[in-house]
Amino acid sequence: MTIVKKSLLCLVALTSLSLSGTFAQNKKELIIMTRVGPENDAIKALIPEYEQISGMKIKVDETGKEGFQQRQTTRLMAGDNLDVVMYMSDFGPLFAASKLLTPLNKYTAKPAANKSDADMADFYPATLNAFKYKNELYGLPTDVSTWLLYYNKKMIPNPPTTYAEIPELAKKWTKRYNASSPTSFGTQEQSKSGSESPVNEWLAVLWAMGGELFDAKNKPIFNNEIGIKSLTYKLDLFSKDHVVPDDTPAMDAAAVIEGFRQENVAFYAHWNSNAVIFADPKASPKVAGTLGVALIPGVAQKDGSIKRVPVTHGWAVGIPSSSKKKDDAFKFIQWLTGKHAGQKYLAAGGTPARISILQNPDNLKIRPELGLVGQSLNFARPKPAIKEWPQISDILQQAHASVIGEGKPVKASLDEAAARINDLMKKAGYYK
Amino acid sequence: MKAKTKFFDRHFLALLLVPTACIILLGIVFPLLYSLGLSLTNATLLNFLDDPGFIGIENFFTVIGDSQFANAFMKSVTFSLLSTGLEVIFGFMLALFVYSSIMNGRFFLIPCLLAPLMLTPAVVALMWKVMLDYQFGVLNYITESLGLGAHAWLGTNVLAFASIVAADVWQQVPFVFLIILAGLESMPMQPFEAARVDGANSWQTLRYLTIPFLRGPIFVAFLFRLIDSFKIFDKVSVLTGGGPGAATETLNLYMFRIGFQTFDFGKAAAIGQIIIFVIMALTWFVFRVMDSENAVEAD
Repeated sequence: MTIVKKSLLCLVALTSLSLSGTFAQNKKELIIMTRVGPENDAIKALIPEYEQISGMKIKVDETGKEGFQQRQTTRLMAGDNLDVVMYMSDFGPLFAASKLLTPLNKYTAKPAANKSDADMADFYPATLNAFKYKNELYGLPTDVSTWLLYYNKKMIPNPPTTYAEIPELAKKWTKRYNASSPTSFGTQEQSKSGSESPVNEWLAVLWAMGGELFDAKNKPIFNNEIGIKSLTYKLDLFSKDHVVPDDTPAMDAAAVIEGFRQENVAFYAHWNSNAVIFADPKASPKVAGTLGVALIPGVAQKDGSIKRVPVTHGWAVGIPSSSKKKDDAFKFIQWLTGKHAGQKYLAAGGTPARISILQNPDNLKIRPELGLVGQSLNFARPKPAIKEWPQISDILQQAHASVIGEGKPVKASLDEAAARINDLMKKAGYYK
Repeated sequence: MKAKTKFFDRHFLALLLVPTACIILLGIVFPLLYSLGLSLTNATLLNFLDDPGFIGIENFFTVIGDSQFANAFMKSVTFSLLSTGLEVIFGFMLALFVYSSIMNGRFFLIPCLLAPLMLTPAVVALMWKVMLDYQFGVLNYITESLGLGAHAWLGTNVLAFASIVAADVWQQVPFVFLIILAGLESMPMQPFEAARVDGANSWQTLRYLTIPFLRGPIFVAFLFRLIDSFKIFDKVSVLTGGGPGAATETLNLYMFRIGFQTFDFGKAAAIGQIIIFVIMALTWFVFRVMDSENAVEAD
């Protein structure tokens, strides 16, 4: 055999050896897939302590917000080398029904070494239930999330309490109406295609106005008068009142966070986790010192009360069905979501879904907005916990984006969305 | 031992092709066939790990009957024709300019002009996204300084579409430029000298000599860009996500949304097959036109 041929054969052999090393699994290591953000930062802050206690190595595989869901779903389907995944409640029923996650009831039924970590009654019931499917638990909640109103106290001493107040208040802080306004626009909203937050914003208005997505028979009714009124309200802020940025159709979560941090707007509503960013003088020097946080606005009722219905969802850690270290993975997630780690998780920027932690008066000194989170959770609503929710959300996103972004008539867009969702629910067997 | 050596010697070239063949089979042929098979099923995330049912060509009918598909198809065709047309025009003009520049200037200019091509499409899109930002972008800074006001470059239908075209043209003009410059460099000089002697002006030289000589390179550049731009995804995804609404949702983005946001894999695979069919048809058509042009020239 010539030298060239021998060299080629050696190259093939070496490549095979190195590849086999790549695929060998480390038995003392757990890999957790997370999404970049305050929750991820809080998890990473806790890992050194767990590694010391358990002797396990925890490797964090973090992905940015853009494309996170697609990447996570693909990796779960592929049975990729993951032991723990951080996932959102919106996808819980779908992942559970698709058998991508490990049922946890058999683990939680066992007596735990640490009773404090295993106290399931201490989780917010709505949040814990969001990670159950057909009475089986699939994830332990790490975070509870709801929407709060962020405002700049140097401009707005008293935040708006009703949706009706917003257009006029926003005009005071919009340069188009007030040339001396320090902000370009009064408020902002998200409307970028492919983003789920516009739907969250719209649902809060729809529900506060007394509307619903479905009737008792699961038929879509959001295209009725109240649905049209709620989406028209959002559209008017953009196309009639002009109190939100002109590029609202292109604005996503990153854009609105930046818009408030840079004092481009005076107030807006968003997830409570952003309070940590806005209150940090290093991260948000322009607004940290004058940050105000309040409950989101609602609709005034005849008895003088205000009906607020912010959206809530949660984040949890679950164990992929393909994990080969399920026992170790459960020990880790039980510790991570326990009371001891939860307290540290809170200090690191997370919002643990534990009643004892969020209602602890000492914690209000570290995170003042927690009191509002607890209050908000009393009347917040989760999105429908059904496996079809991601598809329904996509249809609603398209409808919302076509109204705000393309100027399509509200009724026509909602009617089309209702027809698509009706077909989807029919195919899924909810009705004939 | 002698028999083994003889075997290797006789089949050495074929053995060298085995890795390439494996890569083509695994990386191209298998995914194509798998995708075709998937398009004939009702595969979704819910039944993917079990056995998705065979439904024949039902997915294709569903896709073709969907108004969102029709919208995405028209957006892809419009984008493809518009961006390819502009890229060929600008690439041609740039190649002519560089070709006629002084020798020293050309060698400095060419590497600079090729710089956009070296970047990945996602990086180009991020760069343009920052430049087009309504509040902080340099483009609005310039337009406001000129008294033209700020514009929502990514927030209105027409401007968002134009912005994506602009970003693609900026990146891909160097590719067309390179192909046409190579064509210019390989043109015979005698006809041009003869034309100069006969008193032909610049426009006549361009129209009756340069362009006919460059027909081949122009066609090649046009075909490559047409196929590539039809498949655009990254720039649209980063810049607009398909928005405002569905104003910039091209076929690939529509397929991505169906596959990875609604998790309807069968339908997404059907869209993929339709895209492949369209590109094959486009390629066949352009080669037919080229062949007939060559036949006319030969006559």
